[in-house]
Amino acid sequence: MNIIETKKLTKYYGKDRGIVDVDLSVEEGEVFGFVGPNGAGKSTTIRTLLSLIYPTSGSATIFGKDVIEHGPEIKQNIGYLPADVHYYDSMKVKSLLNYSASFYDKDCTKRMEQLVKIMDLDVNRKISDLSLGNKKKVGIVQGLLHEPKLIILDEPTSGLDPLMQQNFFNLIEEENQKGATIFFSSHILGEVQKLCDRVAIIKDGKIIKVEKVADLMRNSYTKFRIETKTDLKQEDFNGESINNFVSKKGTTTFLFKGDINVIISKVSELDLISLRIVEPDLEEIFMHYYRDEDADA
Amino acid sequence: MPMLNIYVHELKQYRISTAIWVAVLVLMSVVYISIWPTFESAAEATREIIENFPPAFKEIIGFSNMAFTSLESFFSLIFMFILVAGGVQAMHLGTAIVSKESRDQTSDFLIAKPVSRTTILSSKLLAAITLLILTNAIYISSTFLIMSLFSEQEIVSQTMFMIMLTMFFLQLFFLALGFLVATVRPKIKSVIAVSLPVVFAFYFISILDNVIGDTAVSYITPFKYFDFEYIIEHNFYELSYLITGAVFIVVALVTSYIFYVKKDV
Repeated sequence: MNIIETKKLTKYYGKDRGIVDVDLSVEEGEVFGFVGPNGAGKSTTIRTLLSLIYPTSGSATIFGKDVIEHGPEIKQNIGYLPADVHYYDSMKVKSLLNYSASFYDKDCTKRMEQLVKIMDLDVNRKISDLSLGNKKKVGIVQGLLHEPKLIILDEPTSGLDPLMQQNFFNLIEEENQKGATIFFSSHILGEVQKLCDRVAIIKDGKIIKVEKVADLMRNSYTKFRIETKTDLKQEDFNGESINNFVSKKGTTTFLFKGDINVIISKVSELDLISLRIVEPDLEEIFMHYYRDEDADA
Repeated sequence: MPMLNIYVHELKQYRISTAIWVAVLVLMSVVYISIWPTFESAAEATREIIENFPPAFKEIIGFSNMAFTSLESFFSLIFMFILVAGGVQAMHLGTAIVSKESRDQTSDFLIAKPVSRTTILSSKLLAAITLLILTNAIYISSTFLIMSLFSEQEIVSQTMFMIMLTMFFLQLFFLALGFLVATVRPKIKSVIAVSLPVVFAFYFISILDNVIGDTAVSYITPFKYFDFEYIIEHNFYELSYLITGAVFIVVALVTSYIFYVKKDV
């Protein structure tokens, strides 16, 4: 049984496009990444799954049950961390967490205390006095304290310092090993690469690809940035698989896919001022997907 | 079915503002009733002055010829203003308790919990009604106490109680209206900017009705549902208004539920 399944899920905000015909299936025990640029429809999809908003057409099920009809029931086993964390300003962290726990049919005290420790959270402070990072921590604790079977994370790491990010990733991996399914939206490729088994790529409200992370990385490009005294031409690298070639004022950038040894030997023949080889950012990987899409069409 | 945790949470969220409202209402009673002894001793002279007021003026400020003959009728003069204040309290509470979550963006937190929207709204409604019952209970008992301190006359407690209880009915009307406005309107930036003008608009409609004396208009505004002279005379409310108010409350609340359940947050 798929934990999450959407069928032609579509949401328009009036005339504005949210998502169009989104078909997703997330299997039990998977860490599923949901990536795309801002405004692509990641949050819209997630908010529809939680019935915070209602689809214009199409349907979604979680644990095999319709998300609207059985909303309250399935949410007993969902933990959700929203992209923007907002809680009741006048409350103390402790009261907020207790309030959060009071919605679930089980005793969450023990797990709550563990999580507070892991996230290094001061529970006696008022919500209004917390920094964004600390609010995010509150969000993580309130989302995980009932040990949910499905964890939905919307851009979870923004606002967390690197150390806390690591704690958080460890936590998510632990939950996953205990059997939780993770659905995780991000626009940072590094995160997705580190955690996820599969990813869905969304752009302009449509899913353009669902792929294993391993395949995505294997097939992806490497970005070269070369500084030379004179401008280069794409023909200088003739025969190699090169994209997005730009050469201006002695700086040349391009994306390369293929045998790294070949391109390195070609570059070594140049009179270089500097050379940087970097992972392309997500946008650039998307570019290559769009091209593939166009080529297929 | 309402849920106890949300109910308790809402009570806590609004306990301070409710306490302030109660204090203001009681203070209005204290100030007003404390001047009663002066009128009581000069009742005859005051009544002659009132009788000589132009009739239109008396209509507008709601003075009747009966005023100043008894504490009940004296009190009912000022009570209209207490009603306006109570109306603002209820309208404000109703609008705030529903719209605050979306304004503070805490709806995501609440609706992602395993609880239906109907339950959320019912819990909020029950909490708001509880706060209004508390407000009225404290207000009515304090006012009785204050009266016993300042008046030498015997107070007709049942009539007094009936007059003061109209505030609770009026507050239910505005609470329901607040729920309706908060669920139907997509986003409310400032609660007071909605509640204050609405309540005052209803109040001015009631003054307009005083002047033109048109009974049809009087069904629009809850400030006209309770005629204190009628209550003093009959010891009961006018049924047709009571029914109108009840129908409005039910319709407003049902509409609120329909909108709230279907709303995108």
